[in-house]
Amino acid sequence: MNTSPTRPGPVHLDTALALSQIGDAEAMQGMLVMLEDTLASDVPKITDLLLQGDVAGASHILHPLKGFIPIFCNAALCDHVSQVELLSKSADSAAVSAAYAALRPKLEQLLAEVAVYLADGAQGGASNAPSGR
Amino acid sequence: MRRLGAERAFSMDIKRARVFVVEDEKIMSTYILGHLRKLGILDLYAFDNGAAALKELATLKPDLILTDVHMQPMSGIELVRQVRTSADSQLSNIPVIFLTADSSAATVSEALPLGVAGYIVKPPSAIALGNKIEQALKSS
Repeated sequence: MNTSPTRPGPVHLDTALALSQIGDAEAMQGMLVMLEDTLASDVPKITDLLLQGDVAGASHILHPLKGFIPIFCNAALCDHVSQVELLSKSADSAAVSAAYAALRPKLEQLLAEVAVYLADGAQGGASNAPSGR
Repeated sequence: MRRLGAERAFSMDIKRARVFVVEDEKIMSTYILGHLRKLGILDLYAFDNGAAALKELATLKPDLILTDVHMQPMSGIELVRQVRTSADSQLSNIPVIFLTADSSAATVSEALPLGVAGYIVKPPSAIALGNKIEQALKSS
């Protein structure tokens, strides 16, 4: 009997999709490292900007995020990022802050999923199987 | 699994093309450059804003510019405005393709009067990128 603990698979990160779009595993690995760095920096930065009432600044970060998220993630997260980015172009700080408060945990979960994938890869055991698509 | 999405045979014209990629987001720039290399386009120059690309334009004379729209200190729109006003007709007629995270009417209406060869929504597939580049080079 296998008694090893099972870890839930990624919900937002879709490495099969990323691989099909990027074309090779080595390039994908490098881009996932960039994604990890970018999310680690940008996710809290958006909150900080919104706390300062700087919606334009937050929008400036959300815009490129909307562009590259579809390389790596399932459609549900892409749609959510697009909705918040669109809102950030016209809505006030309170509305954008409320919308981002719902998105931020998903981006943090994505960041955690990327970190787990890269750590597994470093140990030679990366799994390509998404569970959320 | 390895699917490049770029198996369609593109003409030698696109493989010989010198292409400027102007994109300030590192992930997207890496993604676009990777696709271009897979398409056989190896004469590539990457810049992170319009001003940096403009500085090298007269020296390197690219056959095509692929540019993001929103960048600092110079946007893709401003880059194309500057290119189009060049006294050198080889430069002023360079085909330009916009890379955009959205296809909003505002972005498109700003781009079209500048005589752009087209726009492509990010993230493009390799095949879509190849098709758009081939079309732009043919019509230039």
